[in-house]
Amino acid sequence: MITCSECGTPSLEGILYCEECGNYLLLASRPTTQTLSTEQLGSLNQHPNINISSVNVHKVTDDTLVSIQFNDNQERVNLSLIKTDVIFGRKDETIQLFPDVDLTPFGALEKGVSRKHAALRRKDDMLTVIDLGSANGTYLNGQRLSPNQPHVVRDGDEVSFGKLTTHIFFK
Amino acid sequence: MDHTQDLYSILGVAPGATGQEIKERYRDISQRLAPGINTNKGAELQFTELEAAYQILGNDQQRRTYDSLRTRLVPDPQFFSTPTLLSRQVIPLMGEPQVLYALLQIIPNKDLESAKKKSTPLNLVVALDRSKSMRGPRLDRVKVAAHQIIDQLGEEDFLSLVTFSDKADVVISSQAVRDRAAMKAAVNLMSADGGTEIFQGLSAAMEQVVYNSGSDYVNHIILLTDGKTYDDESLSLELADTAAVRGIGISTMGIGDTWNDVFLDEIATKTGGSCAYINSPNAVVRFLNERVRSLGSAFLERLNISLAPDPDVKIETVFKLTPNPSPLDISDQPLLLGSLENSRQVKLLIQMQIPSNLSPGRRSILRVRATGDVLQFKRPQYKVFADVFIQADTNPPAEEPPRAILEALGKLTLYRMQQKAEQAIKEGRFDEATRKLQNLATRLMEAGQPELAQTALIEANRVRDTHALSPEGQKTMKFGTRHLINPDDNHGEGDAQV
Repeated sequence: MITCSECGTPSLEGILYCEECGNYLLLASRPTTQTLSTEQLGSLNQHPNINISSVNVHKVTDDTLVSIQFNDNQERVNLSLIKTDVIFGRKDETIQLFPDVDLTPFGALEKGVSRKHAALRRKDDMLTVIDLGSANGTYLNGQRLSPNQPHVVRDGDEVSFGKLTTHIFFK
Repeated sequence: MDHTQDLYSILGVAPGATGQEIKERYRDISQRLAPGINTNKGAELQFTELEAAYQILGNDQQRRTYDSLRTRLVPDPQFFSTPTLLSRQVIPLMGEPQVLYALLQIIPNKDLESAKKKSTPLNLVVALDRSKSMRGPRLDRVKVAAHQIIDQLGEEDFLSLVTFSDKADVVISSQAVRDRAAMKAAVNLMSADGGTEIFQGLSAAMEQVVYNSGSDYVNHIILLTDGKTYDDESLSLELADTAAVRGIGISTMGIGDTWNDVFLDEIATKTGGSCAYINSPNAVVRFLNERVRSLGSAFLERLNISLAPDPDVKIETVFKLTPNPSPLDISDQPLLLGSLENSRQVKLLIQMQIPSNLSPGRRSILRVRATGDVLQFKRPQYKVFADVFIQADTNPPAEEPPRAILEALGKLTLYRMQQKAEQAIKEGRFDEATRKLQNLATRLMEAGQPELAQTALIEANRVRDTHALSPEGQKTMKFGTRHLINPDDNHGEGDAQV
């Protein structure tokens, strides 16, 4: 249950605006609105704007450390985003294919990871993931991505290469 | 066997799928939709369809026959897509139910080679109120609007004009728009006298529209009135149901303050039409022209959606955000949405309740079926299916809802507050209604709507003092807050308030 900070009416989790007074429920604190009288309305020139704070969970700067955590073991691997695309896949020495991050040690073969499976790409201040036409798909928070379409990755997102699940973290 | 329908898309499998894959998909989906488990109307409709598809695809012999019949057909391009945005993609596991919003968009495929400039042929009937109260500027503007409609339409279109007061008269019987001068002359002869019997007008209009009705056409009635009907409203509502079944849309327009907005709204919602509040005679021309223009740009007609939530998920409300924002009746499925215009989208906001104590992991919550007649490609009953999934986790990261959902909901909340105030007045809770209207005024100011805020405040005081709303104030707030939900909605020259 969420309690409205203005009128105290309880609402179920997930409701975004209080159905009683219209208050935006996701903000912890907010300037209290006062009911205006007819006289005040007449003299009012400025209209206060709704101020929704944005939670910066997806901005990536040069200082941000991006790491990937494989669910099976808790260790995190740091990623270098200096190159534009970091390619994830399964190495295949017979055809001399070496992805930037080789997922073989994490069970890539059994978990259906393709040789060139997906890429992480930094675009301005955002990190995106792109499926490279893999056989078993790339999933962002459980949703399968269309091939060759970048999707924004946020701190804590789950990215799965086939059945190999990982989490991406920013610091 | 109707081989023109794509049965594989109903099961969500590729045409080359193995018998085993088909069987498994059938089992998965039917477990969500089966009548014993899912009491939802949308589920019922989709289940029947699923069964019929599996009857053929699940039987080797039948499937072979079906496949061979289909080899001669050109495969459908994707005429439209139905991407869905959720307020949360990963939801927390909780010991209590929670609310989830889905923004369902229906987007026509822009890449299709089509004669986009060519307009869709219309079979239109305009039913005009000519009761005594329409005398003067109202009737004059209506005549001007009728002239402009006659000019807007072409030889491929059918037009009829019906007028009604105590009884109905057919001023122009349904015919191709050729002799414009004669049509305009007939319009000029209109005079206003008598009472208002909407059912008479609607019946006559139905006869006219049915006469030239065709599956390649947009078959539509526009009803314009300024008052309440003397006759039985339920007769008109029954007629609207009949129209809906026959794929005929009815749009309603109310001029002035004394028409019954709930009644006209219901007729429009039942048939996938729109309901407009015209608060001045000058706006009549704009509104009517815009409605006709919009009907003529239909890429797809008779769009309907059926929503089948999973058995443990509840759909609380559905609201159509664009075009013509209006609440939809979820108990009456499929939801009729009228036309999909070439360059616009249809968007619905669905509020669902997810049960407590979910299992962690990925699961489906909703199955959407969108159907329509793609007029410009002569492809009737084109269907698209989409499943909506969520991920449930113990401690998901904080997620900000998508901006599109936040904005839509913020505005929708204003409309709902106004509706709740009206309800409170009906139930005699005047203090509560006054408070709600005052809150609404404050929120409207925040949303940058000082005029509407002022109306709300004036009405708040009126309710406090007289325990009633003014008819004008009530309509202004209802349609004014609705209009905020989609301010880009074209009413000819922008803003609905004249």
